[in-house]
Amino acid sequence: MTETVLRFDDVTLRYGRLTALDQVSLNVPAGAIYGFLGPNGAGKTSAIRCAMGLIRPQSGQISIGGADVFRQRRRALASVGAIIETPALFPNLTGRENLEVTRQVLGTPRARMDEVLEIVDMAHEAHRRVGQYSLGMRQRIGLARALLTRPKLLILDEPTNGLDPAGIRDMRELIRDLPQRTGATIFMSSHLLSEVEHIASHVGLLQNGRVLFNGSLKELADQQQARLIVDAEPAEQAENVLDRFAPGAWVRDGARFTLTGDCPRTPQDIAALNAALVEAGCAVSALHLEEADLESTFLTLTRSAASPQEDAA
Amino acid sequence: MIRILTAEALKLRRSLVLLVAATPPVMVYLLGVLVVASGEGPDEWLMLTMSGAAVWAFFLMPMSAIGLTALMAQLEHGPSTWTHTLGLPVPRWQIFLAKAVVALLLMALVSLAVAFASWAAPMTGMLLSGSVEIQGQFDIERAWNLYSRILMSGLLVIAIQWTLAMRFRSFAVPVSAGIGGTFVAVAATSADKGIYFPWLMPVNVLASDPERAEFVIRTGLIGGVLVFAAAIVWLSRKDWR
Repeated sequence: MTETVLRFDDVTLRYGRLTALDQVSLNVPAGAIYGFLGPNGAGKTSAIRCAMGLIRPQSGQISIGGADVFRQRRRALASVGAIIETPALFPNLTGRENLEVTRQVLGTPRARMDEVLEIVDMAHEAHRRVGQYSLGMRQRIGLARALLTRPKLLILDEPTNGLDPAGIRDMRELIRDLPQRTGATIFMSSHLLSEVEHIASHVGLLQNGRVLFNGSLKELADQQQARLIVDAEPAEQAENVLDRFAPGAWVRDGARFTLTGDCPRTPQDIAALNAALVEAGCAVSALHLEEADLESTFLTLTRSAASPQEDAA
Repeated sequence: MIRILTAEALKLRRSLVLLVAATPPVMVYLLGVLVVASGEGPDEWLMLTMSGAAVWAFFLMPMSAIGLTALMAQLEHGPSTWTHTLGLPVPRWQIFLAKAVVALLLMALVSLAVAFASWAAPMTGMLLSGSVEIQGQFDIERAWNLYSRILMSGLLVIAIQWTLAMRFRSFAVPVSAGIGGTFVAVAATSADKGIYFPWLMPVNVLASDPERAEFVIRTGLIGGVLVFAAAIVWLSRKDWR
């Protein structure tokens, strides 16, 4: 059984009348890059603050490495490195001095600072004051600081927020390599779905404080709705052929037929479909499978989650 | 705990906190030089020591407490580093205790520097004027006692300012409270009930009535320790959104 590094069990957090987290349960397996997805205001940062013991939820349990975040706070946080919201650094200090502040508190060996600066490729810039850094450099120093304790769990809250395209690419590559280089499990929140799709092995989808999905990317892919699109004429003849493969499931628009959901996916199945159409005397001008990306799956999930409330309203 | 103290002290490097800490002794020094060099001020060491202490206790000390604690807290509030600092695997109360100790050490150092300035200023004034002579001798022991007692009686003000500065993200809250307190203190300097008003406690150390002076030292010291302790417990337990 895979070890769980971070676990939320039925966590509910309220700010007055607003329910920020509603019975949130999720688990982050060891070695994963876990993408914690949701639109702005979904409750991602609140969940992360709870995980760091900064806010105590009204009910539920959060554990890191098996230790309860509120009852065994020091043990739980000893194996965590985090960047929450912005890379919160002291602008009057240099990059190295920012690391030194944390190193002093934690009692980490001094040599570890050089190691983490090398990992984030900031060794040559660490002598400069953070106030003079670009956002990308701040993110890197923040990441270096989070890595100081050789964390088992690295929590990154919107790590690419505000970065330019080159900075986003660099940060994404850096994060992708981190599990191999450091052995850390990554828990990374983002509202940029395409960001997570590229690097995550697991995802959690959060909307209005509720978890819509929690599992591996493969499990999510199984829920993805692919579309098979066929352009064939004459349409009536093509329809007869296509109905043999998926009776009544095709949506016709002129000479275009679309099948959503349970589609023929293998090259052999698609070739067989094409052959059947050609044998029936149809001219096939297009036949392609569109795999839904994470974004459209996310939108489908969030829409279906939102609709009961809309109905109720 | 020593490690956390070192880290808190390191955070002050190149910050405005150190500039603000240097301001009161420089002001007392410049004022003292001008007064003595002009030949129109007191010509006794005792009077000069007392007037330097009065300026410190009445105005500069409360203002220093406002400025230093607010700027120290803004080091965390400004770049939102609380989430990092309080997410570290150390007891939160130790972090706040370290911050309180650093604030007190800074105030003590500023007190010491002001005391030194109250000696250095007349010496410089004498050298500059060439004709002014100050009667008597600078009494180090008296100055030490005076400034220590002012610091002890000011502990309550420092604790209140520190708590407000740590609690509120906005600079305006502790600064308004501090300026308001100092303003009321100026307006009610000689009020009988002034000994109960935290911002007036330091200046009451200079009162001619020894009982009044002892009362404000005791109250300021005990009140300050209690407020610091309660604030550290409360800040350690509160949610940090």
